[in-house]
Amino acid sequence: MMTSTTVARKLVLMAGNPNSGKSTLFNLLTGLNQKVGNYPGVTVDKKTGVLELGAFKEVQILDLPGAYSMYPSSKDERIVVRQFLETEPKPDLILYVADLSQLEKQILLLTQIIDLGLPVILALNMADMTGITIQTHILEEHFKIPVVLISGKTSFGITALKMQMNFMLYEKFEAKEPYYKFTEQEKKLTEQFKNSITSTTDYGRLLTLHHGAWIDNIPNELRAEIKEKSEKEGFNPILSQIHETMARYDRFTPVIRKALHLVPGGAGAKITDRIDKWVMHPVLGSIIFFLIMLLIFQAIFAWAEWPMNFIEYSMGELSLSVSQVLPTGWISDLICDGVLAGLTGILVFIPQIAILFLFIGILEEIGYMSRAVSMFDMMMRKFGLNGRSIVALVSGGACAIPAIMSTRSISNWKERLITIMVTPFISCSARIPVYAILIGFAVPKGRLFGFEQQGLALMGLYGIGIVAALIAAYILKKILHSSDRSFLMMELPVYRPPVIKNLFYLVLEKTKSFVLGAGKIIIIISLVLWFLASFGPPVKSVAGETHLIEKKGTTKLAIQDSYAGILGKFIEPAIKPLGFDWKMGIALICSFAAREVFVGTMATIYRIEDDSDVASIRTRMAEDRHSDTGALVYNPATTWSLLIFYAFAMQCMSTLAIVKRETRSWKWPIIQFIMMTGLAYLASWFVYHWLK
Amino acid sequence: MSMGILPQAQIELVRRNALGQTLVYRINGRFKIALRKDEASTIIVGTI
Repeated sequence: MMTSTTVARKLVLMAGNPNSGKSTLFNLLTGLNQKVGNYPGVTVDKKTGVLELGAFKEVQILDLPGAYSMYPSSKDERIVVRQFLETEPKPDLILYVADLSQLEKQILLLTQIIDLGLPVILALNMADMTGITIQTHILEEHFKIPVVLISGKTSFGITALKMQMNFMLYEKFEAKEPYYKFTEQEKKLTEQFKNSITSTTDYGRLLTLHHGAWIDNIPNELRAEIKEKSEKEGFNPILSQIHETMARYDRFTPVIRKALHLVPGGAGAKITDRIDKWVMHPVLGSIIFFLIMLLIFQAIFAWAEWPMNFIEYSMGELSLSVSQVLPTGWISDLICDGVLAGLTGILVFIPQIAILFLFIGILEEIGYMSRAVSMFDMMMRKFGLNGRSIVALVSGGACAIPAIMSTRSISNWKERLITIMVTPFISCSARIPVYAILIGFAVPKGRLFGFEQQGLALMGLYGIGIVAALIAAYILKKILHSSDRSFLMMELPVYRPPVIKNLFYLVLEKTKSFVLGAGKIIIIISLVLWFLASFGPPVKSVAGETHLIEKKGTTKLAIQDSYAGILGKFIEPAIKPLGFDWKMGIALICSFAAREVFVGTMATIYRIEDDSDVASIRTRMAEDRHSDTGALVYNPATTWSLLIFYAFAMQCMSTLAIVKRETRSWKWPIIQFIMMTGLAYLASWFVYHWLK
Repeated sequence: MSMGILPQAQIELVRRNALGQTLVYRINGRFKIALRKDEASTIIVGTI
C-alpha cells in the first residue's frame, strides 16, 4: 500500500551499444544508490539505481547490457530485446547513450527503440573529446527526440540531462511516426497479428514475429500460428532483418555525416594504432600480456597480504575478546570457532577480490581487455574455452573465487561453464602452505641443473594444475552440448584513461556480491565443520584414551575424539590405498573448509599450541613413524601422493559456494567436486603405488 | 550488419594473430573489430 510519503517510481531504461559509456553515466546518475541483481534465469548483471529528480520525484534507472540492435547475437542482447518486448511495467523513458566518436554505427538501435513508441532522450557521450564537432539540432530535427551532449569523464551536461529527463518524464508523450517503413510483406503479416500480439506498435509486432521462437510472453498456440503464417507468406526473417538494417542505415547515415565532423585519426585513433602495434604484436603481444598478468598476480599476492593479515588479526582479537566476555562453554565456542571463524573465512578474501577486480576494471576501461581476448581466443577455443577465459585461468593462480566471478564477461554459456569448472585446477595461493610443508619431506634440498630442486617441485605442481585444467576443459568441450553458437566479433575501442568512479563502483559491487552471495553458504559450512571438530560421542578415543586438551584454562575435546576424528578413522580404509593414515584423513576433512587449514589441523593433531610455527610442525611430522612397522609416515611415496591430492582435489567450500552462485545450481559444484576429487584420488593412488 | 559492416563498407586488414586465426579489421577507417577466420570468410570483399 502506498503511504503519504512514498510515490510510484518512474522507470528509466538506459540503452546503448557496448563501449558507449552507459555504465559511466549510470554511476554518475545513481552514485551509491545502486544495486546489482540478476536477470531471471541468467547470471547477467542487472544494475538498477535510484535518481532523485526533485521532491517526491524518484526515478528508477535500469542499466541494460550493451546491444547493437534488436536482432540479438548474444545472451546480453537477448535480455535487451526481452526487456522491451516482454517485461512489465513498460518504461517511462529511454535514456539512449551513444559515443560521439562512433556515432554512425551506434544509431541503429536508437531508431529501433523509437519505433517501439517509447519516449527517448539521446545522450551523446564524450563531448569533451577533441577533434569532434556536432550540430545536435540536425539530429533533433531528424529523429524528433531531444539530444543532450554529456561527458561521463568530466560530468559535463549531467544537469542539463537531468532537466531534460524531468521534463520528459512528467510531460505527456506522443508517439512519433515510425522511422522504418515496412515492406508490403511485413505490413501484411503484422496486420494479421494486430489483435493477437499485444504490442502497442507495429514494430513491436514485427519483432515478435522475428523472435517468436524464443521470447516467453506468447502462448504456444500463437507461436505455432506465427510459424505457420510466416511460412505461408514466404516471410524470410534474415532477408527482412537485412532489409530493415539497410533501410535504417540509408536513412540516418547522411544525417549523421551532416551533423558530425570528425577529424580523421582524431579521438585517440592515432595513439591507439601506435599502442596496438606493440600490444597486439604476434609475439610481443603475448609477452606483454603475461607481464601484465604477472603484475596482477604479484599484486594479489603482495598487496593483499597486509590487509589479509589485518583482517585475520582483527578477527582473532575480536574472537579473543568475545571468548573472554562470554562464559566458557559451547556458546562461546560456537561464536568464536564457528561464526567468527566462518566470517573470517569470508572477509579474508576481500582484499584479493578487490585487487583483482580493480586490475580487471582498469584493463576493461582502458580498452586493453578486448585486445587480450582476441589474441588468445583461438588458443583457448581449442580447449572449449573463450579468449576471456585466460583472465580467469591466470587469476586462479591467486584465488579461484574472484577468478570464477570474472567469468561473467563470457557470454557463451558453455565456454563460461567450462572456465568455471576448470579454474580451480590452477594452484591457488591457499595451496602454498601445504606445498611448502610437504615438499620438504618429498624433495631433498639441493640443486638440479643449477635450479633449486624444491623450487622445481613447486613449479611442477603448478604445471600439472595447468595441464589438468586444459585436459579437463578439452574433455568437457566434448561432453557438454550447447545450442549457443560460439563466435568472436569483438570491437577494439580506442584506448582511453580509466574513469576512477567506475573502478570504485566495480570493486564495491564485486566485493558486496561475494560477501552477501557466497558468504551465507560459507558460514553454514563453517558451522557444520565446527560442530564436527568440536563434538564427539562420549566413547574411547580412536587413538586410545579420550583426550582433553588444556587450553587457556579450559578443557577441549582433542580433535581425534571429535566427529571429524571419527570420520578420519572411518575414511581411513578408503584413503589407505593412497598411503594416508587417519590423521591425514582428519586433515583432508578439515581442509574442505580451506586447504590452508591443513597446517592448523596438523598442528592440532601433533598437539602444537602455535600452529604458525611451521618449522616445529614439520619436525614433528618428519619424525612421525607408524606404530606397527616403525617406518616413516611421511615417506616420499605418501608425501607425493598427498601433494598430488592437494593439487587436484576440490577442497575449498568458498569456491564451491561461488560456483553454485554463478551457475545457479548445485549440480555443477557437485560435478566439479566429484570430478576434481575423483581425479585427485586416482592420481594419488597411481603416484603412491609408483613410488612405494 | 548491426555493427555497421554494410555492403560497400571499406574493410582493411590491420593485423592477424600469431596463428593467423584471429584477424583485426578497420571498418570505414573509423573503428576496429576482431573476427575469427571462420566469420571473416563469410564477408565478400573486392579490392579498391
